[in-house]
Amino acid sequence: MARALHVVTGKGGVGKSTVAAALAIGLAGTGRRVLAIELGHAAGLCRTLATRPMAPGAIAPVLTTPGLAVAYFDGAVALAEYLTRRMRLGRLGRAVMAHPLYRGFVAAAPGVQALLAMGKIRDELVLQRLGHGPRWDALVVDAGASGHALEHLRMPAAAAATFTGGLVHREAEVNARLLADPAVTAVHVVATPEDLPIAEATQVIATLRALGLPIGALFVNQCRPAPPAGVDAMIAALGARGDAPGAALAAVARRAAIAAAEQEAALVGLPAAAAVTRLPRRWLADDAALARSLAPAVLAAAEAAP
Amino acid sequence: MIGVLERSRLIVTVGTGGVGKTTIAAALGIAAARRGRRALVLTIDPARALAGALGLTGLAAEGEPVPAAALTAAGLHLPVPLDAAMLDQRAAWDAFVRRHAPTPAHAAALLGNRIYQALSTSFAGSTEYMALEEMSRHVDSGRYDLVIVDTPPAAHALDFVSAPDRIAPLVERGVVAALARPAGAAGALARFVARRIEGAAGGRTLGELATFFAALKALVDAAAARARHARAMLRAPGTAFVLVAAPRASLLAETGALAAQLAAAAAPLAAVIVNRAQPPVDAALAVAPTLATIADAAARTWLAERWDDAVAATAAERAALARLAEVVPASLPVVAVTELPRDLQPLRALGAISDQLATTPSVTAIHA
Repeated sequence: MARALHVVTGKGGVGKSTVAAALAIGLAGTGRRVLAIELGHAAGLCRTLATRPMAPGAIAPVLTTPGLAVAYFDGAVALAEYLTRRMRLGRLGRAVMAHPLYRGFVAAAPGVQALLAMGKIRDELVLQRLGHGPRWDALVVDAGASGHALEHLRMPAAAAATFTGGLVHREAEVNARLLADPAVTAVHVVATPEDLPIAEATQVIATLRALGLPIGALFVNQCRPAPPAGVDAMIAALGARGDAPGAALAAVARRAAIAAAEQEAALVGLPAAAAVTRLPRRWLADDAALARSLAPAVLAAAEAAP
Repeated sequence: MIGVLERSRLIVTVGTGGVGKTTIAAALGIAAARRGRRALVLTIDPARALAGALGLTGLAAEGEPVPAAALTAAGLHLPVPLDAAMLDQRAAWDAFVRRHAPTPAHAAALLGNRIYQALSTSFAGSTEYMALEEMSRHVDSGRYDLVIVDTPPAAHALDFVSAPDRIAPLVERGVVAALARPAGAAGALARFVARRIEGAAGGRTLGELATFFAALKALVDAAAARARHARAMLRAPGTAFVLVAAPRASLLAETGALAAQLAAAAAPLAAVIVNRAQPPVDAALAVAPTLATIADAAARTWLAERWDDAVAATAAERAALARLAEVVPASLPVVAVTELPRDLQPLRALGAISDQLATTPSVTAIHA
């Protein structure tokens, strides 16, 4: 299904940003205009797609991929512009934003920053080019590690319930509806085939389900191919040769076999209903090249997700 | 690395998510205990990774010894006990309120407030603030020679160090007073901002916010003083920052910049630990004749690919480490920890990592 809002999350270090970059590259490859957004600091996604250091909120074209642009939104700076528009502060905006009272409120009030970040994403989604339809056909959001991502995804509905009236309530309600709409949004989860990342992915999927948010694909990144039958006998034979190549090959084979066994044991823990896509483990020095090599598989899985 | 373990009173491990900070913190604790130092490993990790690795079913906020039986079973004979503790945010905030509220009535009002309940564990920097509070509480307790803090998963390693500075605007007296009573805010701009916030937040919520801030006001001085205390502790002699990084070129490239930023924040880096390096293989080794002796084609192809992978991994990681050695000061220890067999029992693996930390020569020394 051609959704407009793809959100990507998973445990730290599993390759979320690579998968998000791969999806953005894949979507742009079909001729769609795509904005890839990193929530929080400029880290993995910006490093993979941007050629120069980025400023918060600034949108930079990705030179190697026509139709793709990248940006990062951080809690305070990039959201000032959104807030100025919504609260109609006009030219007073800068003074208000610098006021300790405002800064105290934004720092203190429950999830205001997360709420505003989601509002800014909706803004990009509904933005129109004058007479030319929507500015972006699709957004890919690298929402960061699970805790960070869930805080952002949960916030609109939580704020709509907490703030009983006023602008925050209205804004939160619209954003919550958008996130919960399976025709618009899909949340993709990334893990590696190890116990802790799989456990975290399982927990995230359960939380998404409880929150009523549309679950997309589950990517298991850095998968190893299964060892051949009789791998143990092969390792023993190599070791028995008593020479350096035999010993080195036996050590490599043993490590690969143990890791492959650990992988299959970890994958048993996955929720049965999840649509699992395995992505191969590759050693490429360049993150962008890795993302390009994964793009077709990631795009196919994201589009096929129910 | 040994110098850091023997001299420090406080070690703070920093690094991005997924690099194995918790594992390294625990291994440092074992290495310190082996040297006869009473150490506490304090983890903030909500995944409870430390408890699992140490063979504990759960971790208490006050710290409890790792069971001697579990240590002995893993071949670890420590001359002194090793303690582990975990931050329970909700409980830590409640305890903080009870400790520092001027009266029990103040404490009760705050603990019962709906905004406090929704907010205390979720406002920006809340985890870092409580982690700092628990860190200084354990250091000040005098029970330990060394406290090792495993910092919260953060996109940026400096988040923890800057937490006391970020908390400052929150606990400024004027701000709390104005949010508690928007109409009475001093100055036209302040009243304008307060009215805007009131309009945005809605009447009922603002009322609750006001109650919350009124109750919080009584705690402001204590919170500000504690934040200053933690800030000083992070910069005191005897405090060491240890950066944990993955052996990937993209992450190592940032390490030089980070070391400089930490130095600028007067929190100098004492060591870099490159975690989960792949066991290196010798690319020059002539393996082709040996591979050719494997009769089964599928097995031969599988092993040839695994060998090529291992060669590529060795080359990529060597290049990354060499680049790191160029960008950090030669005096900064950089220790690469090799990934252990994945089927090793967790506590045994921690023991082996602590051996590596103590005995592996620094990459910077090798390149110099």
